Amino acid sequence: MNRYPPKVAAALQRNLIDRAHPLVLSVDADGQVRELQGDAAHYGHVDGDVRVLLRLVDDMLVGADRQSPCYWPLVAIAHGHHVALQWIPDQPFDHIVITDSDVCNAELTERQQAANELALSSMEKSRTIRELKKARIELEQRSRVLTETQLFQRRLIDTLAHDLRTPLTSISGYAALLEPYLKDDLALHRALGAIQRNAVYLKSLAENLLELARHGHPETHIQRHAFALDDLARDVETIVRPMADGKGLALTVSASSSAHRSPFYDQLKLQQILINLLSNAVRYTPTGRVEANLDWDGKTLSLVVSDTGIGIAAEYQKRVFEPLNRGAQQGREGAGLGLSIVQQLVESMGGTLHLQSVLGVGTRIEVRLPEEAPEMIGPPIVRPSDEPDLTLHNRRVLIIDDDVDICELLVWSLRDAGYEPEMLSDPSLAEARVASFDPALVVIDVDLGARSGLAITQELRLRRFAGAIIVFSGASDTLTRQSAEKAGANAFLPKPLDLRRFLSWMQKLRPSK
Amino acid sequence: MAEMARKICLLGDFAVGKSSLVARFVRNTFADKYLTTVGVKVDSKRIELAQLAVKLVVWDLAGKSELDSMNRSYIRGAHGLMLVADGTREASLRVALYLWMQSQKHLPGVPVVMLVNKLDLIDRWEVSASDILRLQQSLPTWRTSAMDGQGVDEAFAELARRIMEVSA
Repeated sequence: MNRYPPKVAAALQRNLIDRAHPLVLSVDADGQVRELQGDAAHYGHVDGDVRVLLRLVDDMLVGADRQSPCYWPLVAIAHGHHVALQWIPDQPFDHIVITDSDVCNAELTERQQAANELALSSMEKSRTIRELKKARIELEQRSRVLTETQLFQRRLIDTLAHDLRTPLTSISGYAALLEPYLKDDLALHRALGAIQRNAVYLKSLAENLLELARHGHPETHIQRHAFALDDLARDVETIVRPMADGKGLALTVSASSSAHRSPFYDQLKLQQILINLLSNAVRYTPTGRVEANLDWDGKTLSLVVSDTGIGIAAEYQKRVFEPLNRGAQQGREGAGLGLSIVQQLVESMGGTLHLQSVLGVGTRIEVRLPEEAPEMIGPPIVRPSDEPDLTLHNRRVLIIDDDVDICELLVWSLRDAGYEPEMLSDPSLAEARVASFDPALVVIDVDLGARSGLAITQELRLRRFAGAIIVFSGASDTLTRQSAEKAGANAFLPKPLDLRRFLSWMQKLRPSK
Repeated sequence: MAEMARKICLLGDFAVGKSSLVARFVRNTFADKYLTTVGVKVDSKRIELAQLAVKLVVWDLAGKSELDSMNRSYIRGAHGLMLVADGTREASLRVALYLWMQSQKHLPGVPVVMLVNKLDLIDRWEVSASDILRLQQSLPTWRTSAMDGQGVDEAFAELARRIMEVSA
């Protein structure tokens, strides 16, 4: 058996004993300490009192065979120290050997703590990532549902607004036709005025609903083109006049320009802004006047609408631009959409809106719209002009619409205007009737149920129909207009049809006999 | 009244709350800070079971995912085992069951109870109710919280009762 040299063995023993601080307790059969060797104070037991350690060893021997040696290498004791414990049965006394494990295990303890903390942190990270992934999936699902709901709502509003436009064409048109037959009957004039006012209100509501449905939708385009400011002022006045007259208000819509060229804006949107502002002004002006001025300086278009109405209290002045804000002003007329739509339109055109109002005195709203340079807004949108120059070679006009009311209205109006109109409500006979009737002009609705008016237009052009074709539709978006032009239409008219303007235009086109 | 001493060992993965359960059972205390157990820590507590005083010597073993040689030496002579899992970590349940399987070779037939700990964090539990029901078919299973003490004394008492039944 190899042995260390005596000096080495002595040095090793000293080193190990110095590091291990051994404490040997020799105990009798009753557990009383008979001998104590070593450094009891090192383990916090002063004056040789080692009862706590004895109790610990006694506990640890529960379940163990006291006649066999036991060794527990790493046992936690008080104050976070660790010891190695040995039970050595012997005669006449058993021995308990206690050595310090901290020297050897301090680093291990630290490493174990760090490793466990790292593992816990890693588990927490994985859990967080799992939860984030789950949250993302849930969010995507909710977003999909929300998008579908929004899409459905937009389509619903779009459909409702379109469906409102068609009967409004009949209401406005027949009301205009009846006007000359009322003579001096004031009651009938009032009744007709009420019909016209409400038709204007419904038309404005339908347009606002459509704007609301389109808001933020990428298909919403600003369709700029050059137009005459006077025409816009006249059109707006014509539309709002019945409402103002119904309340006995003085209405003035004027236009002024210091520029040498026409403004270049989306005329339909300008009209919508003005109708909303003027309708609102008329609605909240019991007596006095409502005025609008359109001014073009070559760079900016300014629209100012003022009234002598009830005014808006300072605390409500911001709220009037919120949707569905009925009640922001006294009275609960209207849907509460008008001013919010105005703000929406002005923002979409890069403009500003300024409101001044004094309660009991009146309100003034100024809209300023900068003209965007044509080269900044992409290629111009080519579309059939609302009033193109047409040459009609005879006075025959064929009106194709599955809505008999609209057909009869147009027939009646055009006959009064000196034309020879015919109506066709069955679109399947369109081509045959055009061939037999040989009209100079075909006026056709887009939505004909079983057949599209655009398909008929295209078919007529393919059959070399040389006459003019005017398409009208409740859908006045760019796509429909462009499709109408591509199909071969000369003009596109939005519903509800402005009958006065249409007839005035038709008067100009009428060929001599 | 006669007093008997019985050795029980707590086995389970690290950080499932074994030391906290012992602290709650023996000293009725709880510390938020996590301190890993190195080696073993031995505590004891006297309880009474139907006119019988029992001293439970509780061996709190360092958390491991398998029974290594050191822990095998510590569980020698144990009268009962307490398996501990963390309800917020489903994997710790599998570890506890694996440790049980390994310990059976060394301690055949000793009473065992399962503690699914951290009941106070129930909203983050990965262990489902159906998991607990399945466990209960093969092991007495307690849901515990070392933090607020729910089920802790009951689980220790249950293990002690089973140990005493075996001893009788």
